[in-house]
Amino acid sequence: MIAMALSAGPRLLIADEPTTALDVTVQKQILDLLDRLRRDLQLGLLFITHDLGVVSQVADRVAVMYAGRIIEEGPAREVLAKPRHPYTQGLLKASTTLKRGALTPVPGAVPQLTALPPGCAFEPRCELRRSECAAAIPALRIIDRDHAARCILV
Amino acid sequence: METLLTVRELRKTYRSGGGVFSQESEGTRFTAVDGGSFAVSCGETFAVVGESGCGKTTLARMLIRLIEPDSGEIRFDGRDLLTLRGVGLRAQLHQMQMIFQDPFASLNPRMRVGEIVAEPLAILLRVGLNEEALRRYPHEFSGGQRQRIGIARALILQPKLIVADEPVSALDVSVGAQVLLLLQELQREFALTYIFISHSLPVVAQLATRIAVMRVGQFVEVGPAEEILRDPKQDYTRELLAAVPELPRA
Repeated sequence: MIAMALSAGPRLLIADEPTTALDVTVQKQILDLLDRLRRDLQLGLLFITHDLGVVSQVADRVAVMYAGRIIEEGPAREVLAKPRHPYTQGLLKASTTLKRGALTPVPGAVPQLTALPPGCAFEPRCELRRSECAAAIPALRIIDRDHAARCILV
Repeated sequence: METLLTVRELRKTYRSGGGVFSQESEGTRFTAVDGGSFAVSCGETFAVVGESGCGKTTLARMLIRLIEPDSGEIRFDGRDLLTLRGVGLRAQLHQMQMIFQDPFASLNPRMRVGEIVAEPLAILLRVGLNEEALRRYPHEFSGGQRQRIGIARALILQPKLIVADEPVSALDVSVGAQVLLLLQELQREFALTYIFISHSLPVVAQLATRIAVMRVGQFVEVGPAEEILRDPKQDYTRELLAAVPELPRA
C-alpha cells in the first residue's frame, strides 16, 4: 500500500488510520518506515488517527477534530501535554495507558451530524459549559503563536 | 481465594491446505494452542495478551466449548467440562458467558433487543440503555451501545465467569473507556470473574489482576499484572511493552 502510494512520486502522503488494524509491533515498524520515508523523500505527511499515543510518535503538529470541526490545533507535544480544549482534555483522560486507573471516559456520545447543537458541538457533553457556549460556534482562539483552540474559556 | 477455573495442557491443532478436493489426504498441521495451563480465581480478571494469530481467541472459545479441544482438561467450579454432556454441560455453560469483539456480528439482526436480551429491562438499564431500546434492532445502535447490549445478554443468566474477547477493540477511545469502566463496575456488583482477551496492553492494564502473554500458541509469561507491566522477565513481553506508543503525561 505504501509503495503504491509513493509510486507517483508525491510530495504529500495522506495516511488514514494506516496502523489501526495492526498489532503493536507491526505498527511500530510501519510508523518507523513512514518516518524514514518522510525524511528521505521530503514528504509532507497528513496522518489521520484516533490514537493519541500514535500522534505523539509521528506528529510535529496536530489538529483535533470533533463533529466536523477542528477544535484545537498546535505543536503535538504541547497539545498533548497541555491540552486547552475540554474535548482534547477528555480524550486524553479517556485514553488507556500502561498505568492502571485514572481512566475517565468523556460522558455522553458524539452528536448526530445532521442535528448539531447551535453553538459549540461539544457543549452538551462539556463539564465546563456556560450559557454562552450554546449561543454561537466559538472561533479558534490563539493561545500561543501556533497553538489555538475553539473554546470561549481559552 | 477459591479457584473457579483450571485449565491443563489444552491443545488444538488445525489442518491448513489439503481440503476436500486436495490430492493429498492431509495438509500441513499447525498448532493454534499448544498446552496452555492456568487457573483463575473467583473475582479476578485474568488477561490473555498476544498478537494476531497467537491463539488467544481459539483458547477463549475452547473454554466455553465453542471450539472442541484436541486434548487437555478444563475444570469449572470443580466439574470436568470436557466429559460433561447434555443438561449437565448446559447448566455449566450458563455460568460462563462470552462478550465478543464485534458486537454487530454477534447480535441477531432480525431480533429486537428486547428479544435478544429476554427478561431485559433491569439489565438494560444497568448497562446504560433505556426502555426504548427494547423495541429496536441492533443496526439502530452505535458500536458502544451494541457492546452494552452484548454485555446485557451475557449477564442475563447470572454467570460466574465472563470471557471477553477484545470487547473494546472496535470502539472509539472515549466509548471504549466507558465500556471498560462499565465492565469494572459490573465485576464488583455481580462478583464476576473475567477472562479478558486482548491484543492491547494498555487496555489490559486497566482491568487485569494477572496477565498471560501468549505467542504462537504458548504462554510466554504469566504473572501478576503489575509485575508483568513493570518488570517483565521475557524479551517478548519487553518487546510488546516497548512497542506501545505512550502519551506524554502532563
